[in-house]
Parts: sequence; structure tokens; C-alpha cells
Amino acid sequence: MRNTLFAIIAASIAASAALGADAPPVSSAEGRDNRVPGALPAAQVPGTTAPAASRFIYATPEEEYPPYGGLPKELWPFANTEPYYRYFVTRMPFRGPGRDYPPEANLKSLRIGLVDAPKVGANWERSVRTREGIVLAMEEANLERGPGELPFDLIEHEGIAQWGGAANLAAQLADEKVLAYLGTIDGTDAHVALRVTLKTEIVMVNTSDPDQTLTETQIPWLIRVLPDHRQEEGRLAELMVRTCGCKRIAVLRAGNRFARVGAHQFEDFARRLGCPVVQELLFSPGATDIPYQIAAIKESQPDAIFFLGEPNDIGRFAKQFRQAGVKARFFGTDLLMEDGFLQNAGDAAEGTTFTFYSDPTRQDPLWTEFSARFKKRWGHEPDTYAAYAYDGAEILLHAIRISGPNRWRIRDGVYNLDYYQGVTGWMRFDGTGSNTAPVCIVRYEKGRRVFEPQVEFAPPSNAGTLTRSP
Amino acid sequence: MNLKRSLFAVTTAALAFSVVVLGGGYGLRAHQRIRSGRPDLGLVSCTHCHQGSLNKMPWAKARPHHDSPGGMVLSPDGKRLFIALDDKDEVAEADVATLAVLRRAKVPGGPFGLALDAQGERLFVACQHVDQVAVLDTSDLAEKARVSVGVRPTDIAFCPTRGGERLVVTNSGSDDISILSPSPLAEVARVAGGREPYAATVVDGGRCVYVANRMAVHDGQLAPPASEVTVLDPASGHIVNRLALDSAHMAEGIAAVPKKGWVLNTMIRVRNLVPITQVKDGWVMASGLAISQADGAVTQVPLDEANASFSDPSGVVASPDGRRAFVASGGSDVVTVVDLDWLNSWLSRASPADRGDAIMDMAFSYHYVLARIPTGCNPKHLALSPDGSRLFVAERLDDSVLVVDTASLKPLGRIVLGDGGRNDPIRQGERVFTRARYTFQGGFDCRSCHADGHVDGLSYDFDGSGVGDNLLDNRSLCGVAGTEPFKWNGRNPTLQFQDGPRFARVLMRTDPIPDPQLDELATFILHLPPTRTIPWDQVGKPLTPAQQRGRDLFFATKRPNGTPIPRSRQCQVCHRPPLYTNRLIASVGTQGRRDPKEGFDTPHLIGVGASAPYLHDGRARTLEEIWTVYQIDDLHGVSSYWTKLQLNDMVEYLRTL
Amino acid sequence: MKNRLSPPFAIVIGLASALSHAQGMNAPAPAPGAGPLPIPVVSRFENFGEKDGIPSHKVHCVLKASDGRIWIGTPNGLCVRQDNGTFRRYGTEDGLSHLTVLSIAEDPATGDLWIATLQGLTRLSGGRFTAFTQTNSGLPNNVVYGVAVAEGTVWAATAAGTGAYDLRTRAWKPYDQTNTVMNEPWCYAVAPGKGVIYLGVWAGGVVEHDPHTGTFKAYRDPDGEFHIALATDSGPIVDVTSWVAYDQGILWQGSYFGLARYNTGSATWRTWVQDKTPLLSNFVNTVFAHGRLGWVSTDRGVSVTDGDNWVNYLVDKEGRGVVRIYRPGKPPETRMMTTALPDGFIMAVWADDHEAWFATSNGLSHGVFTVSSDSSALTSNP
Repeated sequence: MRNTLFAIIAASIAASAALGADAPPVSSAEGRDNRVPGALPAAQVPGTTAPAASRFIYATPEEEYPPYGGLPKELWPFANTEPYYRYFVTRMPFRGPGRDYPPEANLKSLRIGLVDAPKVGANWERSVRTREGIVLAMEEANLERGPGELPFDLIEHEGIAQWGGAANLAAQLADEKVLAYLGTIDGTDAHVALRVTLKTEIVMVNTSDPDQTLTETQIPWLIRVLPDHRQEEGRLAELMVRTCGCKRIAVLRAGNRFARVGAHQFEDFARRLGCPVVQELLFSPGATDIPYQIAAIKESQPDAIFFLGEPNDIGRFAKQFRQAGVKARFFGTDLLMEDGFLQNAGDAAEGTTFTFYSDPTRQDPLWTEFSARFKKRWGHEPDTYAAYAYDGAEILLHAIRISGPNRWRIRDGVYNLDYYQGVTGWMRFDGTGSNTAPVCIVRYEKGRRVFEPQVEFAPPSNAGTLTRSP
Repeated sequence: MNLKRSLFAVTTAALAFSVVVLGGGYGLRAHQRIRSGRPDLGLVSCTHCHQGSLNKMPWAKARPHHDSPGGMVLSPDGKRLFIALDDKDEVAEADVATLAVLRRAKVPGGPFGLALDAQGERLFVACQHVDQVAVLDTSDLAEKARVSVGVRPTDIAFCPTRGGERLVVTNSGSDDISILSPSPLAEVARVAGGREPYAATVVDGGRCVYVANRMAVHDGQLAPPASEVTVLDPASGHIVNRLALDSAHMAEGIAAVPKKGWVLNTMIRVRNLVPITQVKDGWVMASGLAISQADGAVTQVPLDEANASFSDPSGVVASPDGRRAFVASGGSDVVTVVDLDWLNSWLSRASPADRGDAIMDMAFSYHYVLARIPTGCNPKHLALSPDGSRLFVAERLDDSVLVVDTASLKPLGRIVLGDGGRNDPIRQGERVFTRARYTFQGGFDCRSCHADGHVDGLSYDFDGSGVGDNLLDNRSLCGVAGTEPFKWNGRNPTLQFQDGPRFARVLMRTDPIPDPQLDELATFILHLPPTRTIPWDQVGKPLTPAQQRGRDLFFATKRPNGTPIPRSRQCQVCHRPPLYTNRLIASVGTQGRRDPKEGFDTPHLIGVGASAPYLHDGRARTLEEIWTVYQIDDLHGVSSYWTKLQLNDMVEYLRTL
Repeated sequence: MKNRLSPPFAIVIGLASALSHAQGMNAPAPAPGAGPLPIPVVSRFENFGEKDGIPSHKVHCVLKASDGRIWIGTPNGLCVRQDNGTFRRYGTEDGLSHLTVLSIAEDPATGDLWIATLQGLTRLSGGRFTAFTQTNSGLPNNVVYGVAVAEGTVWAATAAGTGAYDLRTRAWKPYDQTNTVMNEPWCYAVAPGKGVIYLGVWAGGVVEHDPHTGTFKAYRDPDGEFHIALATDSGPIVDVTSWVAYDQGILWQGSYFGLARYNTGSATWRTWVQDKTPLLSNFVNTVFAHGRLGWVSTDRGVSVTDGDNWVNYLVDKEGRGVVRIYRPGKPPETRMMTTALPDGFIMAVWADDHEAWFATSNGLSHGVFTVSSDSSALTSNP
């Protein structure tokens, strides 16, 4: 309810700014208002699902963002030293040309790319759900296209598991003349695709990779709508050290890049809070038994264990820890939301606490109406991947609507976004282009997921001075 | 009673025998099925897996060596002819006036290509078996220096340049070209050639060097092949041009034409994508001459006539006045004399279309072919005296050099180097191998597709009906002993069967090779050793770490996570060493839409690094493509877990076989 | 809401800002009696675009080959400048592995060009293209960002590692996180050094590799953080490396976070960021090393520096060329030029002692140097 109230307030603020603002052209190339003739601004049409323009609050040029994703200063690196230089205080502009380039000749549709996960691997199921959210958004958008307006067209590619395949797919999407694209789940894939994005100048909206380093590249062709691991682990570290009073934290993580990046971030936070972890041990993804790791962690007498890995693996190991007599509290990140953890952990899941992005039990209309539409389309409830994918697609579709078929202006419409109210709640994009909306805390109690009340947030009253893409 | 006893004994013995035989047979079959991972396998010979030692292969045994003349070069005064005798590891010096062999010098390593410096004081020898160039002092034929070059050097050219003297060496086995400084002898550059650089000629006194590349570049299964003529600046080592001889392969002869600024290439115009049944219409192969002009234009003209072919054009030389060229046709035992003045006149007025069509006009050659000079067996290399008055023809399989008076085109005699090896069945078989008379109108011979017994890198349309497109990759004959059955469908149990009457009907389109000659041919082929794919100085050396890792993958029985690899998909089960084949039909997911069956003969892998393209129809251009493009569901070995590093390791290992 | 500044006022503010920045920046103390500017200065830009046969706005890279020909890589093919000044284009129909050409290198031994594209590495030799892809060769990945040739080896920086192709053995050796000190396999650039090779690694800083000994050494951001540069002159500016270049003992690291330079003789680092130093922008696309100079391509123009002196080329809002010269201990000089780069978004530079070529987002530009290297040869004051 409060979310809705904030939405209304923010929408009012944004709308009034839009109406009152003369929207003067700004002084740098990155901020020019070079709308392609014929491109129509989005307007909320009664009875449709197109998001109101007021749900998009764009950045003021040269606006400053809070350092380090808005985390408390005690979690910052070298917090007690003023560094020589701070990055991401402002967003890296794109200073190149292109905004006045004419659209491709003989366009028959507005092509949006999607890089799915490879069919082999744990991310495939998440990718399927991601796709469902995107397809729903595009179907709804196409229903609202007026006469003479080009339809949106999804150009989809299954991921390639090996050898930097996402880079090849990103290059292929450029050949296929997409205006923008969505993807990917795997952090490595997202990273390699991002680098191609810079060369091909096609904006990318990531909806499902929580690796905080993804947007820390200064490449102004990417935003991520999913809160990242920094947000999750900062929150977790505070919870474990400050709230729960944990003194001896052990880390068990998968031996892959995803878990390595996440674990090191968490360890930094724990150390900065005065509680360096006592153990960091690895396991091979898919391993069935890890007696040596369990023995070593048990010997270190932890009062908390932080897990990073696939939920099936973690569930199995949680059970083994309990069987080995380890009584430490269990903590983890969003993946523990998945059923695989609960199924494999059984009773050992009790009390396990983890972070999650957006509370699916909340009742604000945007979420509940989306859930209903989603269930009608796909026959089941949306999960977090579907929801964030839907929001990511909505941002992209909106950018195309207001920009026309021009990749550079679509980039402006995506990358310059400061706040967006989606079905997952309000998003707040930082200087890297990552959503820093607060994450929520979930706990397993008697086999059920119990959501702690989410930190409410909405754009400040002075947020944004333009309600359209600058 | 006795009868009863006898009957009982016989019955018991018979039963026991049956039990032993049937039980043993059952056990043997079970063993074979388990070890091969093929539950469908019928009882097969134990030798499919238990292959014995390579040392027992025919090609590994001692054989007679012959005085086969290879490259030749004349002294600047035209009085002495130096002849490379690669099979004997010798270089011979002959007196041009008396035709007598004056001296022979031992030059280890298969001396094949020769070049002299401008003064005729240093003889440079390309030693193809040891990947080296040797320098001999012509005064005493003593070896003064040696240097390593690329793999299997076949020719060498001496040229003065603005940067000093240079030697250009064609490294046929490593597809590159070495540029050497003669004093001191050292390699100064190595540049990529086409496929199998084979011969070189100096143009404009050293301004550039043209290199003939014998094998066609395979650039896609259904793309017409093209041999490359590599043009390089020997002073800088830079590649100036890469001319394409369209639809040509076996382009192994090259000669600069003085005063015309041309370079001539011998070549076979091959139409491998035309059904092989068209042999009878002369559509599959034709011998030709390619003329490369200074502006880069290349025109192909035929050497054949409407009803007579002159197969395997090889050596070519041009007279010092640039008016005539001489071309050796190794399969037809003739030297063709070409009127270059006529061709010059025609080229000056021919339209681009005329030039493009000329090679197709079998009646065209009568305009410029002045004569056909009969020679001994398998004429290959040619040399002209500096004044152009004498032509020297290396009759490779007769161990002699024919000397021809270029004015009268009459033979003047022979330099006799050896006895011709008439009593050596291997040598006799090689004669059959290179003889075009067994094919329709002498259009080609075995060597036309299997130079040195190896491959030509092409896939041929062997569709029997003549209307389909059943491409089959040409397989190497080198190291083929012990790998029967032959043919991609594995139907031919012996080479005699393979090359017998059916082969004559399908391919040769003439009478079959008579049985005695067929046996000799089989003998020759079985004695062809495997193609060496690694540098000589690496032979016998331990594998590099990458090669060793590749070998471990090849012999892997489990994935890294411990999951077993089914035996039927372990590399080493089907490609079982030492021959790297179990000689069985296997299905690896490569059946094409025109292939009647999904199974194909498992090819041996010895020399596989040099036999691209791959798979039964040549669809894979490189070894990598077998697994990156044409692998389906891990049917051709389990490769889905390989990293790129591991694939590279595997390829590195395969290239050592 | 910010108000837009009128152009003249903006220029004044900009100049004042530049002055104040220059005075406050971390340049070394002025050398007494400093001589002529040790950096050649462009007096005139000659621009080439679609009217000259360049098939796209953007030019990714430029190379002057040893035979004097100018080659450029664009999103729409490879081009060579012909004698008549127009550009001839080569595309996939000619054998190029992909239209998008990102980098070009010449093999000094053979004159062959090696062309990095979004879909493989292509060799141009004697007029013939040969494509190497991750499926037909040992190339680690098809997306090739940078290429260099040194000592008979072609080095290709790809999205999944650097591939080393031995031109003699035809063997590929991939370098990635499994066999080097890289954290990640994503490579952006490669630069041959003196007996070593430098790999620009995304999130891995710069990796120095000695192919003769097989050893690796990683140069990493000392603070290890993307959000800050804790201190100056202490190592790579950040671990996200966008480019590396080397000449005469000087290694340059470009990134989207600024610029760093490593003097291999003294083993010392220097770093530069926008606003606090003369570096035009933190967004460094590439660096071209020539002698002691680094030609730095940024999204706001070109910075040329020897580490102490700087010459910056910008394009003002009216499209006019501006050159700013910074010398230690002297106030910056700002001059207007009679010609300008076609765009401020510079992708790459090629330069020698006599001329410079600029690959920009709006065509190619030829920089003609002043006869004297002193800045007094500049055309006019603003």
C-alpha cells in the first residue's frame, strides 16, 4: 500500500516536472534531445498495460550518485581515507555520434534481442522463466501498437556454454540488426556480451545477473534491473555481524566465478565490520559429498556459515552439516529461494536466512495485476526472474517507444534512467547503472519462507527533473 | 561294442569340440563387443584390435633404392649438369658433352631440389627427408654447410636481390616458404605459402619469386578448388601476390619466361564436383598450362587434345628467348613443346571470355603445341642449357636423363644413372601408379590424385548414376598397409579388389589393369610409408606438453568429473593404435542427405595432420571443425566437456601421428 | 534543473577550468629552461568520410603499413586508401571473416596484415584473405579485439583468452585463466614489448608474459577497487584494461577509468584521470605508442603526452578544432585551429614523427604536423 502511495507521489512529481519543464536542451552531446521524427512519446492509455511515463524518472545530466551503491560508509573500501579519485559519482556519458542517424531502411519490425542461458546447466530453467516475462511484455506491447506502427520482434538465441559463446551471440545480434537486447543470467556471459555491446553500440538490459562487477566497467551501454550481490551481501553482512552478533563466519562456496566474486565481496564486508571470516572453502558444483570441507569448517567452530552456490548443492551440504553436528546458523543469497534448496536440505533448512530481491507476497496493484496476467498467459505464478525480466523489457520497450528505431537514443532512454517503478517495485539506478533498490530478508521457518518487512523506498521528492529520456 | 565306444568317443569329442568352439566363439564375441563398445558387432578378426607392430608393415622394411633423378641444374657455362638423386641420398655431376656421370657425392636427407649461385661455385640442395638445405662446393662436391628449413623442402631458387643474395625454398610439408641468406647460410624469413609449395622460379633477375603450390586449397565442400601461385619479394620477404589457378590442382611445375614477363605453371584442371561418371566425356581432368602475366592476369590453356590427354604435367622450362616452353607429362611419357609466340599473339587479342574458355577447348592446343617428344618413364624435372640448345628430361622411373636437341627436337642420348629397377616389384608398381594408359584416353593416372601417394585435398563426386552429388573425400594411400578394408564404405578387402575391374568401370572407364600389373600396383601402394607431418628434428622427440595433454584426451576413458566415456566413443577404441583404426564401420553422426548408409570405414590417422579435409565427404576443412561444427551429440568421441585449450591440445596431438 | 550555458560563456568557463586544473594537477615541477615542446603538433586535419568511400561513420582502427598504404577497419569492412585518395572496401564477399573490423596489425617479416573482427581473425596476404575462427582453428574466440605480430607469432586478444598462433608450427596456444595469472579470460589488447608480450586483460590489469620462459607477471590495480583510485602513480589505474601499447620501454595502459604508464626501465608507474590531470577523459578507447609518446584516443578527443607535456585536440560545440598544450610549470595554452577532427569520439590513432592518422566515430582524419614542433606554429588564438 505504501509502495502504491509512493508510486502515486512520484508519478505526480514526475508528471508535474514533465508538464512544467521546458526541457531545455542540455549542453553536452550525451544530453541532446535529438528525438527521431515520428517517434512517439509513451502515454498512459486507459485500459492498457503500457507503463505510464511517470514511472520513468530520468537522470539529470551530471547528476551525482551516492558512492558505492549507496551502502553505509562502514562497508566502503578504504572508508577512512579520502581516495585520490572516485568513480561512478556521475554516470559515464556516451559522447559519440549516432543520435541523429536515420533509421535503417525498410524496417519491418523493431527487433529486440534475447540471449538465453545455454540449455545445459542450472541457469536454463531460470532462463525459461526470464523468457516468459519478456515474451509477455512484448506481447502486451504489440497489442498496443497502433496502425502503421512497427511491431516489436524478439530475436532469441540459446546461449552457448563454451568458449565465450555469449560474445559470438552478441556479435550475431548486431548482424541481425537488433535495436537492443536482453540477457544474460550467467555472469561470464554477461561480461563478454557487454564488451561486444560497446563495439556494436547496442544497449543491453540485464535482468538476472547479480554480479556487482558487471556494471562497474564504465561502459555506458548497460543497465541491470536486478539488485546485485553488493546489495545482498552488504545487507547480509550487517545482519550477520550487527544484528545476529556472529563472530566466527565460515564461507562455503562453489568453485566457479559466480561464487568467487560474490564470496570475496562478502568477506570484504565482514572484515570491514570487524569480523573477518574464519574459513573459505570451495566445492565442485554438482559434488555429492564434501566430508573434508565439512570437517574443516566444523573444526573452525563457526557460529555462521555463508553459502554461495547452486541451491541443490547448498541444500545437500546444509543437511550434511547438520548431520555432522554443526550448529552454526546458515546464511545465503537469493538462490536459496529456489525449491531445490528446501528439498535437499529438508529440516536442515530451518532458520536459514537469505537475501532476496523483491517480496512476492506484497500486494501492490502493479505486482498483483502482473501476476494475474502472467498466470493467465503461462499458467503459473511468476518468479523473480520472470518479474525482473518483465520490468527490464518494459524499460527497453519504453525507451524504444520514446526514441524510435535509433540505437543511440534508445541507449539514452535506458542508460539515463534514475528511477523506474516496475512490477518488482521501485528501482533506483546508481552511477554504474545498477539497481540499488533495497533487498529483503527471508528466513525458512517450518519449511516456509518468511519475509521480513521490506525496507520501503521511493524516489525522493526532488528526484529527476526530466520525465523523458534526455 | 567297439563301434559303440568309437561312436561315443567321436560324439563326445564332437560335442566337446562344439562346446569349445561355440563357447569360445561366444566368449570371443562377448570380448569383442565389450572391448569395442559395440553390442551390434558380429564376430570379427582379432587383428582389428591386435594389429601387431608397425615395424612389420611393408613400408617399414628395407627396400631397394634407385637412382631416380629429381631436380637438375646446369652450370653457368652449360658444361656440367647436376642431378639430385633423392632415393640414393646423392647428387650426381654429369658431363653434358659426353653424357657421362663424372662424380657422385653423398648428400644425406633426400636431395631433391637444386640451385646454383651465379658463378656456379656453390650448389644448394634441398633435402626433403630431413628438412634441410645443404651447400656443396661444386669444385669437389663437398658439403660446406647445412641449415634447417620447413618440412619437406622440394625446390630451391637462387636469386640476387637488392638486399643481397637470397635462396627461396619451397617447404611442401609445412606449407611455407623459407628465405635464406646463402652467406652465411641462415634462414632470414619464413612466409606462408599456399598448400604444398612445390617449385619456385625467379623473375626479373630476383625482383620477385613465383612459387607453385601443388595442392589445391580446399575452401568449402562445394567450392571449386584453386591452387595458389605465391609471389614474393625475396629481398623483403613480403608476399606480393597470391594468384589463384582456378579449378586447378597438382600445379607442381613453374618457370619464368624471359622477355615476355610471364610465369608458366603446369596444372591439372580438375572438376571434382562433376560426377566421376563423366570421365568418359573428358570432364573430370585435363592437363593444362597457366600463364601468369605481369599484371596478375592468369590464363589457362590446355595441353590435351580432343581425343588424347597428356596427364600429370610436371616440369616446365622456357627457352632463353622466351619463344618456346617444354612441359613434361609424367603420366604420358612425353615432353610437349609449346609455341609461346603464338600464345602471346593470341593473348594480345583474346577477350576475357576467350581467355576464360580456352582451357575448356580441347581443340585449342593444336594452335601452339609444336611437338610431343617421347621420353622414358615418368618424365618429371626439366632443365635447359643456358643457351637453350639442350633440353634435359629427368626420366624418373627409368633412372636416366634424356638429352634433346631443342632445334631439331630430336633426342641426343641419355645420361644413364641406374638400371631402372626392372626387377623391383615396388618400382614396377610405381610405374603402373604413374601410367595414364590405364584410363580413358590417358586422361589421368593414380598419381593425378595421389601425388607421392598422398591426397590432393579434394572430395570427388562418386555418384554412380551421374546425377547425384555423393562426395567422397580422397584418402591418403601413405601408410595404408594393414588398414584394409578400403574405400569409405569399407567394402574392398584388398587393394587389388579396390583397383580392380569395378574401379575400371566406375572411374577409369577403360579396360581393367591386368592382374600382374595390379599386383605390382598393390605392392607399390603397400610400401608407401606414412606421410611425415612433423619437422624432422622433432621426430622421435618427446611430445610437447600440449601434445601430451592431447594424447591424454585421446586415450581418456573418463571425463574430468569421473563419468566414464562409453567405449564406443573413446577415441582410442575406434582409432586404435598403432594404425589408429580398428578397421570397422562406425557411425559417428556424419551421414549426409545423399549417403545411403550412416556408417563409414574408420580411417587410419597416421599422417592425418596433412590430409585435410576430413570426414567421409570432406565437409570438415580442419581437424577442429570435426568437433566444433560437425560433432552431433558426442557421437564422434565425447568432446562436449573439452575446453578450447583441450581441443587445441587434441589437434596438436593428432598432428604428430 | 541545470541551465544551459551560452557558448561564449561556456568557452570562457572551460578555459578557466582548464587553467585551474592545470595549475592544480599532479604534473612534476617545471624543468628550468624547458626547451621546445617534445611533442609534434598537428597544424591541419584532413578529413575523410563516406564521400571518400569509407563505408560507415565509424572507423575503429587505422594502420599505416610499411609500404605506406593506409588501412582502416570499420563496422562495414576493411578499407585501404588508394592512390587517388579514395578508399577501396573489402568485405566478407572478399574473404574477410566479418564486416566489423576492430584492429589491424602488420607482420613486419612478411607484410601480411592480420585483421581482428567480430567473427574471427583474418589474414590478408598477397591480396588473399584467409579466415581463422574458433571453429576452424585454435583461435580462442571469434570476437577478436586486438591483434599484434611479434617474433613470428600472431597474438589475438579475444573474448575468451588470448591466442598465440605460431606462424612456423601453425600451432595455436590459448592463454586464459586456466594457464596464466589472469582472473578472467577476457582480453582486450595485446602489445609486444622487449622480449615479452603484454596482455590487456579485462578485470585483470596487464599481464606480462615472457614466451621464452613461459612466465607471467600481473600488474594489478594496487587498491583493487573499481569505485576509487586510492592514490596516484602506484600501478595500473584500474584492473579493467581497455588497451595496452608499448614502445621504447614505455608501456601504456588505457582503461575506461583513465590512463596509466609503466616505465619498464625504472619500474615506475604514473597514472592520469580526467579533471585532475590534462587527460581529456577517463574513457580511453586505445593508446598508440610511438617512441616515448602515447597518443591517447578518448571519447572527448586526443591527448598526446610524454608523461610531462601534453597536447590535447578537442572539437568545440561549433565543431571547431581546439588544441591545448600543457607544459610543466607553465600555464596551458589554448589555440583555435583552422581545421578540426571530424568528431571528438576517437577510436584509435596511428602516428610517427611526420604525421598522424585518427580513426574517429565520424570518419578518418589525417593530422599534418607543423614544420617546427614548437607550439608557436599554431594557427590562431581563440
